[in-house]
Amino acid sequence: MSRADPWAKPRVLPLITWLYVVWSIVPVLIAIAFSFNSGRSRSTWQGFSVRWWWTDAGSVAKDDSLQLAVRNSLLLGLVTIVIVVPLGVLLAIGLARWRSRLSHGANLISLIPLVTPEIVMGAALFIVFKELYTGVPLGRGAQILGHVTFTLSFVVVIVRGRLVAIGPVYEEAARDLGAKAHQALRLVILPLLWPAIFASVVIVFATSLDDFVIASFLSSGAGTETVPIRIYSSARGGATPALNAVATVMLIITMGVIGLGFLVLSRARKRRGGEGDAVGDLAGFSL
Amino acid sequence: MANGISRRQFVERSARLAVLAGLSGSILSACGSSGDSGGGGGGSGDTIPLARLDNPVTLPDNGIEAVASGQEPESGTLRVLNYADYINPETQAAFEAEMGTTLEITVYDTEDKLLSNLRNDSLTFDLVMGATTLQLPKFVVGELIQPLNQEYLPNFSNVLATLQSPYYDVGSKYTAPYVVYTTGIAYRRDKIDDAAFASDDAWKLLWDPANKGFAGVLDDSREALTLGMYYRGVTDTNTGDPAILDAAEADIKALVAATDARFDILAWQQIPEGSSHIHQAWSGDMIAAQYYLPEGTDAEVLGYWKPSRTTVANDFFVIPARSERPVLAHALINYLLDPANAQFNFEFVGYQPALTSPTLDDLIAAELVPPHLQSTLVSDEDVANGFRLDALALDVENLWTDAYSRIRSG
Amino acid sequence: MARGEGSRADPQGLWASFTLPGTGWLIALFLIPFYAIAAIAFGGVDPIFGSALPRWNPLTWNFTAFNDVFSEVVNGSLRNVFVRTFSYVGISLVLCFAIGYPVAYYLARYAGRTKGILLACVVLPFWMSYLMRMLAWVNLLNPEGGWAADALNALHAPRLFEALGLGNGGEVWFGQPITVIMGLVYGYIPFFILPLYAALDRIDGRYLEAARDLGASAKATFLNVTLPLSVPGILAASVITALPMFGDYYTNTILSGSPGTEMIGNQIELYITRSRQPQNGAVLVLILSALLLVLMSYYLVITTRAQRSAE
Repeated sequence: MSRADPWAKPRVLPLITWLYVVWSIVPVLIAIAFSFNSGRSRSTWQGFSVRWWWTDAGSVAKDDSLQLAVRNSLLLGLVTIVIVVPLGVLLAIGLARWRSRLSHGANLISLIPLVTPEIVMGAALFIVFKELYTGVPLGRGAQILGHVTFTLSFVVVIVRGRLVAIGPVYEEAARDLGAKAHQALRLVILPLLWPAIFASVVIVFATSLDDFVIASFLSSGAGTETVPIRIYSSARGGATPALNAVATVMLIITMGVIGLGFLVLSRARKRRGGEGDAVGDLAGFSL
Repeated sequence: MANGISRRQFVERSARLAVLAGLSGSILSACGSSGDSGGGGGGSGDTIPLARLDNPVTLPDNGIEAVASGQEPESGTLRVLNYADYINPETQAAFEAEMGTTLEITVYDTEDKLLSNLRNDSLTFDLVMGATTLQLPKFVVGELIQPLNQEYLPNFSNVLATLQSPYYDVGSKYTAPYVVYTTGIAYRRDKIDDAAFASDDAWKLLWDPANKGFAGVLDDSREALTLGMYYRGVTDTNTGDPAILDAAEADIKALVAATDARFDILAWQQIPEGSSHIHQAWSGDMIAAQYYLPEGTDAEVLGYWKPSRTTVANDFFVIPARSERPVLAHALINYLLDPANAQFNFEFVGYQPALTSPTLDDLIAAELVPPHLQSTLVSDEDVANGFRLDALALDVENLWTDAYSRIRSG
Repeated sequence: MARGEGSRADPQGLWASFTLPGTGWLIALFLIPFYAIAAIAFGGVDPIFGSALPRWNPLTWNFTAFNDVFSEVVNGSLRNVFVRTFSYVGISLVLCFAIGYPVAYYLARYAGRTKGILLACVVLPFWMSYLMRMLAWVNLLNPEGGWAADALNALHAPRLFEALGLGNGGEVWFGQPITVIMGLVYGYIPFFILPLYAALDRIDGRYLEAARDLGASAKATFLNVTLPLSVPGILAASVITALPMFGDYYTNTILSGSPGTEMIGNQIELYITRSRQPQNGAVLVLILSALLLVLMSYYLVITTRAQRSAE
């Protein structure tokens, strides 16, 4: 595919794009900068200090509850991934291949959570765990269940998109060569789905790490507080820039995860001979 | 029943509620409270004792035993329910070092979260900080808190005289006060002259269009509507009279129209930063505001006004019924009732401890309160003369919430 | 198009069984909670605690709260809130498109070697807590020296937005509709750009070359080839971006707090978490969901149609 466009080099588009990038990133940099504020404010500059990182009693290094929140967030994200990705991949493959009137219903059900406001999910899940599923206590278990439910549709959409892109060709070829349905699936489709699976992992992780509505409704107290809960509980009352420091730590960790995902993707792509686009797969949310 | 109590417990609980109904000090009936709340499955009618300043209530025994005297404080982690940043981390660290324990603070940001945490049978907490009179009846009737054992609170004598045996808990059976505060107006002294606040009806300054874009009201249904009432000189802060509430609603809407006022509880941040020049606020906000001044802005710009009689409130400690470390919890209460610790805590929290010592002069001398912010300090007289925001009957509270919803809807 | 149906039996049973765990999960943990919302909306309230008492049996449902709230929505104070919310989301979506489409297009077609860095930059804000970014805007929009506030006021932006009906002309940005809209766009635009980029990326460059070879100008090619091919991507991006926006309440809380910008999410939050009338909040949720159902149905129809035709 030729990339040499016969048209004149665009000037407006890169300008808009880089302006967007600046507009988009400056607040992030400001948020990081405030973690080095010498006073207690998170919105007005008072001088430079590292007190919220390691010297103060309430700093990231010294406040165990902040570190616990980081660990809780990461654990919640990881367990969510481990459950939701296989569940979603199965659901996506099944929905794509299954043809019957019942499948229409399942299709609908799998897509509605995508379009349900978080506060609805959070409040509803809270009530249900309190009144109906009383065997499930609030806390990490409930939070995991809530996050899986909330992110399942993302996985389905990503994987189905990839299935559409793959098309029926490879699977049919395998079947023509004598493979059974489940063999074709395991040996042909799953490896081809690998980039979409990785994209799902990355997106689910990001969504889980920044969710506070559902995690808050389903938390059982300080022991299961996540970083967003700490950040949001303090948004209406006094809080310190130690929270900015915590958010920066989370940012660094998640960038690390993406970087890792990208490396794995490019290596997988090279091995497969370059079908598709690693970066595109990473952002692969499409019909 | 959905929360899984046994039939025997249900019968016992009903019997106890009936006894409480008989014993309760003041069942609000004059203001048209009804028993029907949409046919809810709980009790039949209001059985909550609703205390008022002129109608003090001795809280009934709710069947939970206080912890026995003479025991050593338990070891282990003390699980505390508290607002965010409502205790000095260094005070916390000092207590932890002295008692050889750790504090695990679970943060709540609304009363509902506090209530649902306490009612959750799978969670246990040892101490609650920041509870208010709005929740106290629910705590007692709902068997969520246990009585205090004064033997573990030698420092209790340090509590303000007017709060030693408060109207909402005569004899201080369940509560010990934490901080006390008033509601007033926080303002920028460099934008609005002190002289403007000379009279007792300076509430009207919030309606002044000269402050367009820079005015604020507390994001609280009770505080917002009582502001409207005070503007008219009405002081029945627990009213259920729809006429009064309608008038207050109209007045606050007029305030919004005149000044584009915004609703939040961020006066402590906005006044020093300059994004607000005049804001209905709590007294502790302006003390805390000193820590949020931008580089190059002096604390001189911070101002706080309150009339001679205004909303006064105090919050308090309570110990949950299922607390596993009640003696240790008492120890923390006692620790914070000590003058030196309370003063140190005040340095961070900014809300005045409800104690006789440290005195107002002590706080001023320690330079924790600059002279121009002396109005933020709450005296015994303020407490004696103040108006209170107390618990309301269900249908009355719904009137307030609906009025607030209409105000916020624009 | 028959897929192997002639040659060997398509194991429909196998595929159906694949969907069982996921669908079962969603029924247990999504549909039933959704029914719980209805059970609360038409249920009662604990007279002591003021908490919701759901009624699971529809025959016992109590419609008082629903009638009250519904009449408030139709001709009371809540009507403004609904209208305002829908218009904010609509305007935000248009802005997301206006900013996001060029960015996604550039990324897909022209970025070349900078593509990796650019995409990382586009995705980066995604990883910083939404609240932290909003608080950074509080800093940027501070009337006393915030960079964005100073720049916008110097450019006489308040007058422009006032003329558009999105502002009050004042130099204080907190509390103005345009500020809340900007906050929504800022927070949700990564959700728009990523799926759109992926869709534009899969547009085969040969179509564009063919159009060019047939003599079409750049503009004509864009309008007749690129844009139509990107419609499914635009639709998916719009739905994923807009639908969560309807329930958003924190953007307004942090950047405004003014009754003039109150969104339906704020009222829902007020009733569910700060009142003794949670059933009112639940009713609002049901009404909002009913209104969104129309949009959802449209999306679902297009999605399933596109997937069927691709397979």
